Amino acid sequence: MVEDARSEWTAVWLLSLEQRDRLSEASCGGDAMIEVEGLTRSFGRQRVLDAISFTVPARQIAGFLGQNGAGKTTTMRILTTFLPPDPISGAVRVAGLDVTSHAREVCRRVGYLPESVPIFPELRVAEYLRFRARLKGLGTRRVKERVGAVLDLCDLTRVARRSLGVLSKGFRQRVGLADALLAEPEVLILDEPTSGLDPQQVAEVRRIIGRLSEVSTVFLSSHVLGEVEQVCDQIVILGGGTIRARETREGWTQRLERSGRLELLLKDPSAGAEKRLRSLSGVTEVAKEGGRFVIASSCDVREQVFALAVERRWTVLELTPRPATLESLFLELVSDEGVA
Amino acid sequence: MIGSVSTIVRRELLSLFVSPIAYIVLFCFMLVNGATFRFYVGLYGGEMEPVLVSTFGGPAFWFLWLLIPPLITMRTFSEERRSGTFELLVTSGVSDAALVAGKFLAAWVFLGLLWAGVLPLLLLAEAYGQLDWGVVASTYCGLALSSALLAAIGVLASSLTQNQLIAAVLATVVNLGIVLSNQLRALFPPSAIELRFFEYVSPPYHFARDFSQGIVDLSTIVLYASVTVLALFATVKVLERRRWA
Repeated sequence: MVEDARSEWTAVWLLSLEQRDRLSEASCGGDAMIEVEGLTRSFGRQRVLDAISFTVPARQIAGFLGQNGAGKTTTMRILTTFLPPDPISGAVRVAGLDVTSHAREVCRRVGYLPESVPIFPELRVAEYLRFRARLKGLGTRRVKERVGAVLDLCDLTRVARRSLGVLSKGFRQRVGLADALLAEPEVLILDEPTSGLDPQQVAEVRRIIGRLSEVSTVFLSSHVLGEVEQVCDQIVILGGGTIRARETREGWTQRLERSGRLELLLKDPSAGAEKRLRSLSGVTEVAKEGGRFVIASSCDVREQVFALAVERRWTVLELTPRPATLESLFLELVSDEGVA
Repeated sequence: MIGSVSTIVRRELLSLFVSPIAYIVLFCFMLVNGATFRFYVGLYGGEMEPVLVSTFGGPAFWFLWLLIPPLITMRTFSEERRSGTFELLVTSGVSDAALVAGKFLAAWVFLGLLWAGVLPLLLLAEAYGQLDWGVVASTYCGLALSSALLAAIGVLASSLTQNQLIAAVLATVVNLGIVLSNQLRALFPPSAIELRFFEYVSPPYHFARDFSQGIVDLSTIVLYASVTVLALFATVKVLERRRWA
């Protein structure tokens, strides 16, 4: 029953989005729903964002990674028009519209979930959503329809009459998400959507986000690297106010493979073994960890290592690839930053 | 625009009435007004004209006039900014002007409700003495104009800080300055041009000379309306400041 209502709602949304897509394609003339070119933002003398550029194509989920204070929230606030870019900054467009000169139109097309969901504690869940829907310019009939749909989608129907002030963090987060979805936004900007949720709630929110990407472009920030890896089509890493890396999920997989290490355990290794391993083409670093050689390389050197072992008559006890994790790669990418 | 404004007005009034502050203010307001009205009725017997002048021009009146509006308006923007809901409001496509208009109208309506609460006392008094309803109407016109001015000042003060207390103190100080400007008249000889200025800007003088005499002067309406609009315009500019900070 609930599933039927949800799929019906998704179909309705898809239909209305098709109409809007034609309009937005006409206005932006392309597929990118978020376009950031040379965005700079300073607070006083501190430059938080330094000429960052990235694009998010329509109907994709992009993950924004960065340490605390890296500028993620600032970027999101600029995308939602809450903050302006610096006057000398480059262009920032959402759905083809400039966020500075078309702020109100951008707001109408964006659903925003701030980092710590701010709510009005005195209102009940449904009351709050009705207020937000009216504020977003929905007509009386649409308010009723949309509030019902988002309550259902975010599994909030059973708490619809409860005051927001008494809700748990997980429910508040879902209310924030429901609010972001009210006006059927083309772009969803979610700042740490799963922070503070228990594992079951995290899974539920991820499931909802996954479904939303069928109809919207999602741009989310997170501290949880695994989450970004699982959910996102594109990952953007921000560090020290600059973009440190930007790859598709496939690109990340390749990058992770390239950044992997090879562990080699030899029986009675000779004194010159480390030097000979280092001399192999593509090998960038050789370290010794507890009797094992850990080889870092820019390409696959397994065959070369094997050939060297045969040539030098080393007895190989173990030759194990140790794949890089997104976490290790992330730390490597942001390690030399001056935290903004 | 109108839809957004009415939505904000409704939400603001709802928030006021679900929080204890509205009821505390209402209670204190009715208590002070009831007590002073009873006192003046006793003092002047059946003579209703001095009762009206004292009720809407005595020390208790100016005390309420000064303190109540800042209590109502202090939370309008301060609380939104402190709790982060301000970010949600301005990113939902509502213009800053609509936001300010909604907050201002809600405060104004609430102040109107407070003063309307005094009307039953007047109805009661009419049973015992002759009441000039023309004077009542002009007095309420003055109350509406001055309440708009005070609500606008309060909303402006609230937009300047995240701290409700500072917003309330700031608005009270400004209101006090407006009321006390009347006292500065004593510093000037009757023919001085400065005296004319202070008469022109002083609400106590307006109430004593015009509103409590059944007169509504167009220049007074223009003054209150223009200062109200100026304060609201300044509030919009304060909110827009974030876009240029």
